Amino acid sequence: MIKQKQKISILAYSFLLPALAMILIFKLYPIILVTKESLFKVSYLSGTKVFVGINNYMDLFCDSSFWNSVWVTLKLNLLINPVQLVIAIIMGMLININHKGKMIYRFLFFIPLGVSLAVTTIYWSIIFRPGNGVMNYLLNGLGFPTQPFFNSASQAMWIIIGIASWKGCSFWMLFVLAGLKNIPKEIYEAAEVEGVGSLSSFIFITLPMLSKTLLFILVSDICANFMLFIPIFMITHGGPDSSTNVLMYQAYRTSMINGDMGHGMAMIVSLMILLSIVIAAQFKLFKDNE
Amino acid sequence: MNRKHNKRNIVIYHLLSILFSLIFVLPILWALIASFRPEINIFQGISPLSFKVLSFFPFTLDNYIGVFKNEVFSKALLNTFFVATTTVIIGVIINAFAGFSFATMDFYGKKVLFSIVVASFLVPGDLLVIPTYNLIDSMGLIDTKIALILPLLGNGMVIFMFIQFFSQIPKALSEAAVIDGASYRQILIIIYAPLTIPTIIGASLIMFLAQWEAFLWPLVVSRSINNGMIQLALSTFTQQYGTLWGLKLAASSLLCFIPLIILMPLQKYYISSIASSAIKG
Repeated sequence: MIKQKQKISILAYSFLLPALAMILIFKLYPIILVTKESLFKVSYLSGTKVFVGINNYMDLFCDSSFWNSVWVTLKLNLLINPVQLVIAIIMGMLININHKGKMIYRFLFFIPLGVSLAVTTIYWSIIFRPGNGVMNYLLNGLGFPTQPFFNSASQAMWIIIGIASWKGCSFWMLFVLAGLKNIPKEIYEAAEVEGVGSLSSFIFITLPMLSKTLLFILVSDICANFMLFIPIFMITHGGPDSSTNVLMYQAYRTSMINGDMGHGMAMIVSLMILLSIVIAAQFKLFKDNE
Repeated sequence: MNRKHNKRNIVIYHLLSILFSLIFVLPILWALIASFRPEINIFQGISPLSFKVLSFFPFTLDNYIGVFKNEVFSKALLNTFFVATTTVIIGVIINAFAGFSFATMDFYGKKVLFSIVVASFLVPGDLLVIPTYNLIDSMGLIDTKIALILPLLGNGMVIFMFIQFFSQIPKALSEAAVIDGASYRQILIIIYAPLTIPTIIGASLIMFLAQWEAFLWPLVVSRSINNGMIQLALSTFTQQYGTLWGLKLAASSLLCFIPLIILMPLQKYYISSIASSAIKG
């Protein structure tokens, strides 16, 4: 019997080994690697690595462009995540309603799932073209002046938010939909018998019953949007006036374009810490509310 | 009174749904239609806005022919299919085995090993692209297809999906088989494999889309056109003297419709597997 158990254990480990090895090497080891590399500096002259301790971090903390990137990352996330969450809830509720046309709407709401963020960015950059784009023509037709859109430091981030949300909301909608399907119908029926209105049944039944799903969406969405890169890389390059220069883009530019690995790695570590703090705060808030 | 109220709700429902639908469909539809027009007619009908904006005429297939003749794009398309298919095949197998092991077997250190999976779940994909680049560099794999495939093989979410699936199957089923003298391999092949097809389809779609949409990782790790990936190849149509919009829109449309054609008939598997990983998490 013991021998058989051992045999099963060996089998279990051999089943686990390939996948866990891949995760350990390519998902978890890079965390150690980035932390280690952030303590080194590559000398330009000899190309050798020199241990500099926390100097890379000290440089960043004295650099106003780093703090700008931190602020831009936080600001982007403060704006984009509530927007996406609310739209995802609305979309999920809409296609959860049993009504004529449901299948068509469902089909159309799923479309962005197949469209990559790069293609989304191309489409919306055409629509929001600063000079003669579609949006400007519509605005002119409605009597508004031509807008600079992503050539303007105050508007660029909103365009980025719009692009990322167009792609993102359908995805998060799937989770809302799954959460809604998990709420027993009897609760709504009982509420209806009691004469509870649809708005109060939404506030007092749907939202509390969805709270776990919503926390999951919010945390995953924050993780995704802290890494938001493609529209910034493709359209604004962090500008204008560094107004969309998120930490991820700044880290990419520092390490891959300027070849300054030490500072780039220190930025990634900072991003990691920032993200952990934000997510820990989310969980704490959620627990306190429960 | 109640009836009137209902009618108003239905109108709001349709208005909102149509609004969302239009926002989702119009850009894709416009790009698709415009991609069948010659370069000088791409932006026709935009200002002033007219029905011509959604007209196939003057009709041409030149953009699509041009896209496939473009070396960078056509190579990237083939590369992406190769890389994505390889990732799906190897990835589904190794993650399914890991999920099976977690769900059905007891072994020493299970909790610790499981926490590795959970931890990987919490690390967002693109966060560690730059240290992963250093890692791949130290392995001497920069600008290879292996470098594109390796980091996307182990997938915590897919393991989670398989754990969910395998733990739903009653243990009695495999216990009965063990009593009958079946080996674990036989149990896996005869009992579990047929039941697992929906999960395999869902996992395949997730892993395929991950490679299809890969951007930052190939941007960092690929150098030559021989290892180019599709999303980055779009930039080949933006050149120093301007953008070749016809080609760019044709390429973008292909990039939308290939995954949509794959995704649409299989959407229920995709949705249920995504949902299953969320509900327990």
